[in-house]
Amino acid sequence: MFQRREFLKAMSAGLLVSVLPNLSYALAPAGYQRLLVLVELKGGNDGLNTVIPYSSDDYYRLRPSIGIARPQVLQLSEQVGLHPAMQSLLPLWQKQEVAVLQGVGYPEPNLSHFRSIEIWETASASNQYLGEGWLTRLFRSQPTPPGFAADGVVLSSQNLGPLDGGARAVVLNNPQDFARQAKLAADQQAGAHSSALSHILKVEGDIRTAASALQQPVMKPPANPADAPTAPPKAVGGFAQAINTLADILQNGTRIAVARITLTGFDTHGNQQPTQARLLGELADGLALFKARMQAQGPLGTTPWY
Amino acid sequence: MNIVIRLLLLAMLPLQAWAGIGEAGARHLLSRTGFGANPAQIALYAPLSRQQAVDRLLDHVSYSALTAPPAWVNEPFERPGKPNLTEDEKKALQKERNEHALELRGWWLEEMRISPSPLTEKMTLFWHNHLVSGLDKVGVPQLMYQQNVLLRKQAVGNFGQLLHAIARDPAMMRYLDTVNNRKGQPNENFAREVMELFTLGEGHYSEQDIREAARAFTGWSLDKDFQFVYRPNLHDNGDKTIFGQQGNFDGDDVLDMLLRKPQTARFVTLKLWKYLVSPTPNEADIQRLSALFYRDNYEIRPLLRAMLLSPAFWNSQGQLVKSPVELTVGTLVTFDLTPPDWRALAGLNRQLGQDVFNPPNVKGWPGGDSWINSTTLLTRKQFLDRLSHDAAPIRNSFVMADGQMDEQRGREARIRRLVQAGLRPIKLQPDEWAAIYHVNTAADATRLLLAVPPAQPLPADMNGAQAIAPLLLDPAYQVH
Repeated sequence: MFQRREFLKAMSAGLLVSVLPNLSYALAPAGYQRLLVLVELKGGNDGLNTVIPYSSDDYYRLRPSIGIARPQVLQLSEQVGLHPAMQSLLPLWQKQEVAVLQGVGYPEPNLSHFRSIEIWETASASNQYLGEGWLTRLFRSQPTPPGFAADGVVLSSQNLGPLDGGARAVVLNNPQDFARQAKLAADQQAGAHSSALSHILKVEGDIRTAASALQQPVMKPPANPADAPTAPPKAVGGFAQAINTLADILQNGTRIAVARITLTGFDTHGNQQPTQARLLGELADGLALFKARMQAQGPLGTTPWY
Repeated sequence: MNIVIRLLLLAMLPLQAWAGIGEAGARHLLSRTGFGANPAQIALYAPLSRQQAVDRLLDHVSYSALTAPPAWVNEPFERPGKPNLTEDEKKALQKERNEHALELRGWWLEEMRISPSPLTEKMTLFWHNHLVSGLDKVGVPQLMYQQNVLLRKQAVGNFGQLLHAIARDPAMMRYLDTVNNRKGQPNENFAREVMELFTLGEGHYSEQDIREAARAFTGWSLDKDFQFVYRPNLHDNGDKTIFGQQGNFDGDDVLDMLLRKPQTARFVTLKLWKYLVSPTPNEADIQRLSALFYRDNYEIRPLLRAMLLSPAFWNSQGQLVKSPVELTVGTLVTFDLTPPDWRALAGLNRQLGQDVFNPPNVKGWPGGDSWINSTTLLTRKQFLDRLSHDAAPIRNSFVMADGQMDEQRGREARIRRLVQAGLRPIKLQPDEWAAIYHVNTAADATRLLLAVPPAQPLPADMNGAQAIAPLLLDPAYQVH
């Protein structure tokens, strides 16, 4: 019926782009002054109902039932438009703070869902198995500077994705919980250990580093609410909570290079329309919320954390 | 003079070979070949020599599970993808399958905990992670159960027979698409993975070998009850050229060709070494063991015996990261605990990255360091922390005036408590555990619980019961 396509969206300073994994080298020279936020739409989002080719007759011919009616499409150009639930992204689009990259993929696509994600997260060739995520490889060749709480934080998922296999990554659903749990991680002891034990001590070290950085007092005075151009949209749902968690830790002055947030539930085998509308609404509202909170925390472009 | 030295050497050799392995050796052997060990099991093996201990393990292997499987495993089931189901019927069917999948995981984890031959389960798990199938794609829990029965039957049996059987196993045939492989429309999935992951390893075959082998497996199919059936009309009877040989080969011919290659013995030996001994095999051992495996016609028992008796095995303490089931089931075994709910434990193992019956992909769990990241490590620690938190308070109830433990009173208390609880789930009882097993000092507890010294040294004045919680939370508890 339609082609399922899992795609990642990356947002930098409110700029929504799809980032090709092999562009990773391009991120490093900036010295991690910018924060890369990856949003995983888990379960296989229907891309053609997200950015809709509403001018195409084929689209309506091939999608007699699940196609989005032309008048409802939020037009971006004469060819494509956004799903109607993504209204909150339109103001950002109009300010040229959103970009859309279509048709992102890799040669000889593997049709296994699981394997596809693995290829996506490791940026491997279709027939190549890599044990490390593409961000892990980046951070190994271009380490984050001292003082960073972690290379990346992972929200709303247990899966490290592109940070798997060695990056200093912490999963953070609730910073308070994390700080509390982190007490279970031991202080690192010097000494010769087997490589297995050394690895465990390294991860314990990462946890403690991240936890102590997260516990630092707020470094910046809270922004004057009057300076905020618009009131941030109301935070509803798990995705908005994750956005707020991320904005909170950034407000605390916590330094990280990457954040990865998962919005799950796109695995709609039937009755797609209401589910996808709800999820895309959550996505758009969440991204707009993040933009608003980052703006409220300091003028964009001068504060390094957005 | 010369003769005296020779006599001395002769006299020393058997001495070394027959010396008891001690508590540390027994803990090491049982932890690697099973899932934890309680101090009584350790005490049983401690006086044995290496050879006696290994032979005892191998003499007790079993071929079927002790735990009764859920009733539905032998009942008829709906075929996945049955047409004309309503949405509600589909949902109900999916719900039932999910329910069954959970029960199946609980069943196996329970078998790991109570099996009189943990080695059998350890090897069943090894083959599950080598000849991989997963519920997500197979779809039918009954078929995964049948495959598990097969893996256990041959767990310490013969790899050649296992390979032939797994190629006809309905779960495998669904998982690697043998069912979609027919004359004129070959599906190469099984042919590729049998070479890449099950026998030879990458670099030891060509794309042409895969294409031609796929043709040889055509006609292998499943009947309407999901049992193996050969359909001659779907089999490609043309000549195939595989590894330079030409002929009208069928699937069994291909498997025999693979088994005739010494590389297959080497590939499997290497993987087993990494599972049981260390992540860094040495070439001499691998050559010796794989030659033996090949010569013995892929008999698994002599390979295991030789591997477990290699000096490298006895010098490998602490070199492996415990897998989630080794950590969770092993902890329950060590402290004689019965989990209140196997589903919760199955869920925990899934969170920790080891969802049995559902490995992440056909390569299986990569294992080793990859078991540990910040999330899984904190989840492991929370599990252990909760166990210690929920433990009965330490009152040193069974400590006698001379610092020894009153074993008799400890046992009586345990029996009273079990009777009171109606033999239901129990929680960690540090006092009783220490009393029954004579765990007087922190050093005793360390020897029983850790493979290497704790990363966090314990305070000098701790007794055995008090040492349990800090030892469980020590990073060294994560390795064995």
